[in-house]
Amino acid sequence: MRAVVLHRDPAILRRIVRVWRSFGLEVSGSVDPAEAVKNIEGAALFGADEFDRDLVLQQLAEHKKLKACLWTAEPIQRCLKMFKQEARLLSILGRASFESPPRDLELGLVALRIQNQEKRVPFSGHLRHGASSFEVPVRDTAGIDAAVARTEAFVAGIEVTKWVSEVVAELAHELLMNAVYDAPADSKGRARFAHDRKAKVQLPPEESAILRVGSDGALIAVQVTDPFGRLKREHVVDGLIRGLQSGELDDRGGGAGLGMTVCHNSTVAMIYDLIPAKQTEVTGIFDLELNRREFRTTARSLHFFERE
Amino acid sequence: MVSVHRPDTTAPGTKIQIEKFSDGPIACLRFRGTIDETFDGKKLAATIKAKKLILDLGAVTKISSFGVREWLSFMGAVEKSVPQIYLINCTPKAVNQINMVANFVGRGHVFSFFAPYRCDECDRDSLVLLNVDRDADAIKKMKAPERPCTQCGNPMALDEDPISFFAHAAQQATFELDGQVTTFLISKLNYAVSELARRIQCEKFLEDRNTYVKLVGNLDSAFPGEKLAEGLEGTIVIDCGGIGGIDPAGAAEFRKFLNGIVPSVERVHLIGCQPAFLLRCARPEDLNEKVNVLSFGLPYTCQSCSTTASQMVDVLQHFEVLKLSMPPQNKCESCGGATICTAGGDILAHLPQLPRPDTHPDVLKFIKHAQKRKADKKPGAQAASSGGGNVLKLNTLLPLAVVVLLAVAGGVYLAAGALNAKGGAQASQAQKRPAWITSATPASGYCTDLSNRTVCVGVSSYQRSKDAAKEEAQSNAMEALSNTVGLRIENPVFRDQIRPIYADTRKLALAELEQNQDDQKSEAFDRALNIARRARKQVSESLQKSGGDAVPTQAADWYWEEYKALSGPGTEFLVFVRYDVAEAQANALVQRYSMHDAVVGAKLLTAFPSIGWRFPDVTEGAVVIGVEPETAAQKLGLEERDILLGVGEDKVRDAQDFASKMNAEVAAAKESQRDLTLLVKKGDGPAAEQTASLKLFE
Repeated sequence: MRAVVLHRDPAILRRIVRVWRSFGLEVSGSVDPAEAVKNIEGAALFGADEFDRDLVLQQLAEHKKLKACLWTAEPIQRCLKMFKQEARLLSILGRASFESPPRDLELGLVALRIQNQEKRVPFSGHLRHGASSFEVPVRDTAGIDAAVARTEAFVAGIEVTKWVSEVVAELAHELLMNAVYDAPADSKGRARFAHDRKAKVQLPPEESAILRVGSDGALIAVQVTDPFGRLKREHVVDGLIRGLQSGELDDRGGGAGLGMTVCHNSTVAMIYDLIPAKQTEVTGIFDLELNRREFRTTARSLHFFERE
Repeated sequence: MVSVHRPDTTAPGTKIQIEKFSDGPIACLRFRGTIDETFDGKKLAATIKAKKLILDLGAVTKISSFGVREWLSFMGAVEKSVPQIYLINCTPKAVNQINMVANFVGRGHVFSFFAPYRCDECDRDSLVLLNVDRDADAIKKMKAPERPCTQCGNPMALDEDPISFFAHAAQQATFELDGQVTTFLISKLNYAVSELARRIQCEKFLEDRNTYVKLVGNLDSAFPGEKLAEGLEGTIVIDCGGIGGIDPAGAAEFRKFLNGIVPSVERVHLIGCQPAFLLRCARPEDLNEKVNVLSFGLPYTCQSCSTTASQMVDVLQHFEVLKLSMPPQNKCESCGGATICTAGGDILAHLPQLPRPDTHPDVLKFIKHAQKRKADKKPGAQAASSGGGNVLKLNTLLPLAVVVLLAVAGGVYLAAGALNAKGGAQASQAQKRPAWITSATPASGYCTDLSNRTVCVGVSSYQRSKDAAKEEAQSNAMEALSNTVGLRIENPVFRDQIRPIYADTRKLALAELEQNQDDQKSEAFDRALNIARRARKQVSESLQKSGGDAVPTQAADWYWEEYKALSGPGTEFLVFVRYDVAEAQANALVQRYSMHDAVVGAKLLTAFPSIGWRFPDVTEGAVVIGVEPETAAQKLGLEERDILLGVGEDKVRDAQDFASKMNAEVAAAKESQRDLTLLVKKGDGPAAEQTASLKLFE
């Protein structure tokens, strides 16, 4: 499977090419847009800086089997509208600065996804080898509280500052509330509990959400999987657009419609993995290397993969 | 590690608790814990009857996205009936939401918020309170105001992106805090609105032979007693309802003022006195035929709507009841429900000492007129007044020290907590332990630094008598306070000479107690407990003797639990007592024990209370910290760490007292040509009389 990379900085270009090749892709990289376009025919993936977005969108329009990802050092808001409109734009990868490449982990996830579209990337794939983690099913309101407490305790146990454990716990809470309240649907596909957050919910075991939390000391990953597969790309993007740009609520459901924004602000990368009508898996990555100031200002990533 | 600026926090995950105070048209809601889907915003909004609302978010630990929805419902509903809303003490979590969510504050104004700072030198985080008025310039420029680390003094950096953190505050329109709200914040919440607003403001109104004086602001050394006293004659009515914090210097200045005007006036009536004012500025020795208290505030909590408010008590009207240390019965001003008085034991004990006022009906009319007249005045015509000319109604608010928590569980409001013996009768296991109890280790004491005060909690050992347990808990809290003060003193002499006197002894004694906690029936535990009890009681007494007005006289809260006795029939009590020490008080104590005096060539510090751990026979005195060569002190044989307990026939209270008594004694000795005697304790030996030849001082 072939990928094309366009990036004006040769050092960064080399890095991205190296990572993608390591993950099994056949990669041609170029600093020149014209040359990159020449190599597009037959490629499965086109990666470029957000600076070249117009070119990327043009190529997506011309090559119907092509998928793309962009990287940026800017806030993600600028790319959201485009991300919503173009479903074959898989990822926006945030990078720390114009001199930095996107995170290897995320480049790897994109490479894995493009090659093994049926296969799920295991949770451990989001962390380095030797990471510790736990997994717990959650199917009711009390379970959410317990799982969040366990998350906070787990994170506190790896000697981080208090605000980190609070942020990660908040992320776990948001993801679980969405999985337990928003995700469950009836036989006609209608949300069962989304309109009443105060209701005490209890799901049957087969409908449980699964929470996974792990850390390798440099990153923390929080993942929630639900067996409903109802989360749509436009939900995610609309929520982010609304929350990041205007802070307006979407109160059509029972929540505040700010969950996506909260998740986004609590992580450096959000990865949505959807099998429609079957499973939604949402993973948030938190970078422990960043202090609070850096965390607030670092560019964040958004990935949306849809599998059959 | 967290600095002294950290706001109140409850354990994460705690459901929201809301304390509600009111004072006439102003209400304050203090939120504590997590604002999530269990917070019923609309229901809470429906209970607000005020025209001005203060929302204190200083103890909000988390706001979930579902909590945001409820919050917006609350704001949307409450805005309809409350024209003025102010948010204070917003935690960084709250600030994030304010910045992120449109209309989070609705038409309200953010007045103050906590910004996270970090000292890279000490590797510690701090929360620093920023005000939109005091720090307006920095906020508008989105540049964090500089703040030094309280540990090392190096500048701290804002641990946030200033552009996003100050986003809302910077674009918020400049506003002037309503005068009534300013007064409320200063006098009821002891809040630092601004340096100017905290300063005492005095207004006078004269009519015939009557003068009405209203005081608003903090009572400190800047109190202009002499100026205020000028020309005062006839009947003076001093309205103390607007007084906020009272530090020892302020209390002393006020009492000096009061004593100074007594000879030249006919009467002085004090009205609207808060409990703290009564205890510090209107002591029994200050009240007499000419000076009396006409009214004072006591805290009452409504058993129906759980609102806590201070209600004015007319001394003459309720004199017979007050004589018995009992608070008069009152109804809730919000809903008319029955209330219970939640005043502490100290203030109740003070009540019988209030003299029966002897007031002419014309004076009462004058008071009403003066207060009504103040309320009618337009703001522009005011003399300097932080209150903006608006007179507070007689129902002033409860001091911060006395609170009742409202626990919100599933939308149902409960009242919990017991502050007086009568209220506590129902407490026992039915009550929930208050959030201020963060440790329940028996026979312990600890202090916690909060944003504007230090909270010291004492825990008793298990005792058969509740009173004995309470007394022990009080001593433990006081001892913890003494230890905390000792740790804060940075004077190197104190550190090198005084702290070593007691630190190891204390440490060993407490370690022994802790080691034996597991077997409370053992002799070793008994021994350790008795040692600790003796020492703590002594330190507590010593602190109260030598600490002056800065030492709290009234517990802010207490709580007890009853258990089956460990051995034998019957039950035992575990009591917790809490003292709140305002920042100014704590600083005053630090200063008191670290300022030295000098006399006859000896440099002295006031004997620090904690030395009672090592010296059971020392509760007062002065410690020698330096002796100059070729002076009387040296010739007397005085050495560093000697403790001076008496001069001649007199006991020595503190360093200043020793200096003045010594000078007086030398003068008297010279006049009568006799030698002097000092009572000196050297090291661990007993105190001994030492004769000093007069020749040494010639």
